[in-house]
Amino acid sequence: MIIPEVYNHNHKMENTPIVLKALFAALAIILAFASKSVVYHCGLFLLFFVLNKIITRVKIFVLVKLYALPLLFLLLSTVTIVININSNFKFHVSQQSIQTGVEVFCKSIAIISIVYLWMATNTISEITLLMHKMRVPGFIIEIFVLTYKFINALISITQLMVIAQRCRLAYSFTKRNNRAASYLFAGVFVKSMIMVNQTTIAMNSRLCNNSFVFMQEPKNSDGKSLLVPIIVSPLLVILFFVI
Amino acid sequence: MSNTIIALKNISYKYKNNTIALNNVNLNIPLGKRIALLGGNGAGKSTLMMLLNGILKPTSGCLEYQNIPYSYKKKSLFELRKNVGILFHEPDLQLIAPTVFEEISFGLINLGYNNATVLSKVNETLISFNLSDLSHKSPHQLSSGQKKRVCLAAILAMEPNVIVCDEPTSSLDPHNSDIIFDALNKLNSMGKTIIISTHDVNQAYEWADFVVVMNKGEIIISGTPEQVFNNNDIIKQAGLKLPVIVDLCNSLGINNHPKNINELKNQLAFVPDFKTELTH
Repeated sequence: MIIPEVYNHNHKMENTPIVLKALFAALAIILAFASKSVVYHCGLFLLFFVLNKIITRVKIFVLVKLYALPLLFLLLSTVTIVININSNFKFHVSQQSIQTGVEVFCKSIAIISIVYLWMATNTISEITLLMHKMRVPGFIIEIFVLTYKFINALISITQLMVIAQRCRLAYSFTKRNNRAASYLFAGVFVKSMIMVNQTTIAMNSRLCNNSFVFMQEPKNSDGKSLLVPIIVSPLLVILFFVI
Repeated sequence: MSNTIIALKNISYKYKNNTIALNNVNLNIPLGKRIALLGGNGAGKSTLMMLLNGILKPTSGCLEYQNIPYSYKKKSLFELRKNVGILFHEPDLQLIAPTVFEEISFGLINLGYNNATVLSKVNETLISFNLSDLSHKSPHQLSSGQKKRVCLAAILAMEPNVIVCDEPTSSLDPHNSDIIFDALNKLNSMGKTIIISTHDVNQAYEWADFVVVMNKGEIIISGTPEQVFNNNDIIKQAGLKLPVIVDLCNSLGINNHPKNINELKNQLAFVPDFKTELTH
């Protein structure tokens, strides 16, 4: 959800061909899935965290915020893996469960890092273009684009509605918080549905035939723009076999 | 050749909640003119505009584009929307692409142009709307005026014959408002028909060649600005006011209403007392 904050349209992989970026991310994800080494996964996480920082040029605080939500979910999930209930209905932690939990946790954060780099260096239209090239059915692309627009609409409407509510002293009294929040959920949902409906109308008026094709600005893919995938990919493969 | 580009014949439109938005509307939209659609809130202006682009289908009656009745089949709608472009009131609803460049390319690609043509048309549009510096930016990061310009540029790049604008300058400062109207005037001088909806009677009086006033889903008067704004009672009935210039001229007893403030100054310059005041 914080991807729009991270995506700044002048990242360092702007001129890298879309397909090359996708192949680079796909290779890293495959290696992350295939590897059983915790060290390798931690290395992948760190490497892609640093790449995210350097390539997207975002502040470290924004990047940490970006990782916070999935990490929270991961921690909760890992705890459920690590803690078991035995036949006497007692909680216990085994060596095996700790190992599995750590492996799952490290593998997941590595994959999250890779996906974040891919998302922060591709616009929605680049992803759509890639989906077209991969011959993904049109209705899936439509769902993808509208979902993105819907999430954006939800965020912006929620922000505006919370401000409007706070101006009228909502959330000032604990007792009435639930009521204000329920109004907010209902209002946001209705307004978002209307917004998406109107966006669809606006797109249809511009002859949209559910293909969602955009034209990118011509880019000059020089050697520099290919540097990261070309250097990092072989490194990942070598480390995969070494570690 | 007919002087009417779009004809509305006995058009009525009822929303699903049974609200009657338009009631038996008859209107001939003149070719190559600047048309202002005036009316208070809920008068039916936006509904009428969406009917023109084929977004809504009338409950009864029919619309004709260059004497050919509207058809709501996919292929016919495609042809209609190629010719009738619509600029929505809220720019955020229209913007879908991640960059300004891609936003302008969207309609052109849907028109079926090849990549070279799309590229050249997008570049031309960016230059003519002074958007070249913003081409790589996300439309959502722009100011309201810039967003509106991007939306208009995206529509105009498709080169429709009729451009329908729902309150094109609402929430814009005078500078951005002038940019939008300059673009519309330029297109009009190239023979395009421009239809705008507005609450601003001053703007409508000064800018439009043809004015349509709506109230409660009906057209209560249409004609040249001079014809329309001579009917004070009808203007009041629509919940509107007379343009300041017309009101002032009526108060001063000037029968020949000037179009804008400069014309008014010129007229007043011939009145001896005012001439002295104006020179001071």
